[in-house]
Amino acid sequence: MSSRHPEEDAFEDYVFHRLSEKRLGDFEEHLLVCEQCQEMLAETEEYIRLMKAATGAFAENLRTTPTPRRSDDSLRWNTAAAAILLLTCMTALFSWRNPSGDPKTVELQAYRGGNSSLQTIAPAGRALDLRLDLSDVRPSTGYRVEIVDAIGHRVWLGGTPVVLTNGLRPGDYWVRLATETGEPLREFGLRAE
Amino acid sequence: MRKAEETNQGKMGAEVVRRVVAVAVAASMNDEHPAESGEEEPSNVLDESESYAEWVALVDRIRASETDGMEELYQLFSRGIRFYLCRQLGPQELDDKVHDTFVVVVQAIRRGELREPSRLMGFVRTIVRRQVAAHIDKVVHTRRDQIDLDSTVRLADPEENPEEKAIFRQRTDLINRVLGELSDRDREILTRFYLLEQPQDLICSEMALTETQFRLLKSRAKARFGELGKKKLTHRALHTVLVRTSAGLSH
Repeated sequence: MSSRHPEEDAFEDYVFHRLSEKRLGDFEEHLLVCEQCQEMLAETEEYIRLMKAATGAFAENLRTTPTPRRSDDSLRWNTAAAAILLLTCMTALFSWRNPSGDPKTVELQAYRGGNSSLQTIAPAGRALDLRLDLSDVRPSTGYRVEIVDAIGHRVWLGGTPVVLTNGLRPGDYWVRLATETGEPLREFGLRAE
Repeated sequence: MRKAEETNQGKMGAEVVRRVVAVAVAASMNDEHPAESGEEEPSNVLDESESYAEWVALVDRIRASETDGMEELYQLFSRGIRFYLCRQLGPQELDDKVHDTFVVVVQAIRRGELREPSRLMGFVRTIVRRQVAAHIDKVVHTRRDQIDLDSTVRLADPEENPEEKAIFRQRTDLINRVLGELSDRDREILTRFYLLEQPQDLICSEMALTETQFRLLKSRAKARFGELGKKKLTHRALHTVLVRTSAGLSH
């Protein structure tokens, strides 16, 4: 029995659900019998989780850190003006290429007495910013979030903040909150329509 | 160390035999009630003639209900099936799920549903995926049928392993160091790929990168992370030795 090991990129593509059907079949068949690749996949998932947490923290820092005021310096002001102009153009370009626009904020609430709705509704096909109800959840330096569809296929994996730039296809989903080490904490129902 | 390994191997071997016997008994009892079987996927793998011969021989032995055939099949696939099921369904009742999957595989092979022995891996994969789908379907329906179904399910907060938590925090610190050493542009590229999950071609086109540049950046970051991790381990080991040495001297 022999089967070539997948390329390194294939592991990331597998975690991000980007493999074609054919490649997916070959990849999973190989994984069934190759301990080395199983470990490689586990390491890849862990690395992606770490990168999500770390880049998320950086992105958050950029959002919250105030820009220091600079002294009168024409070159600096010109550079700042140019950067703002460039950012505006890129935002416009991105909006043109990404018709879904700014992410829609969706609050996923824990069940409270009297609230009979089973699932939170979110618009399908639009970028989403999911805010999870963390009340009564044990505080942690970071959380892991996994989104699976109705048949259990993972569609997203990462940490908080949960920003889905490509949105979700219409359907039912479970949003699972876990500790950094993967222990489950809470689960939310979400429907995209 | 060798005795411990041999003891472990002995225990593993006994466990394998126990499971194989259990599977054989279950398969023979369930022959009257065939379980849902897998379909073969189109043959699309480059097979070496040696592998083909191995698969054929193995499948023949299983069809003949030979215990060593089932033992070999179990040793070959049990870890992979366990890995896949754990990843898809979590660690709960994993042993039972692996066992059930294995019974289905053996039954299907013995009924002659595997027409091409060279496609054994694809056959097993199909069965495992169907088992996963069936389990999820069952869970979803159970939840929907339950009265007072919450939109959330509060799961018992399990005991956290402090060591694992500390290790994760350390690794996160290392990644933060790696990111801190990069330029803003490189950091943005990695943020787009890992956090925003943008595909490579989109990032390359929007940030004027070649594929090579993109892959180089990713592998550099990963390599740097590995370097820092090794340095940290070396430093910790050295520190441990120095502490023990000084403790020894003080007595």
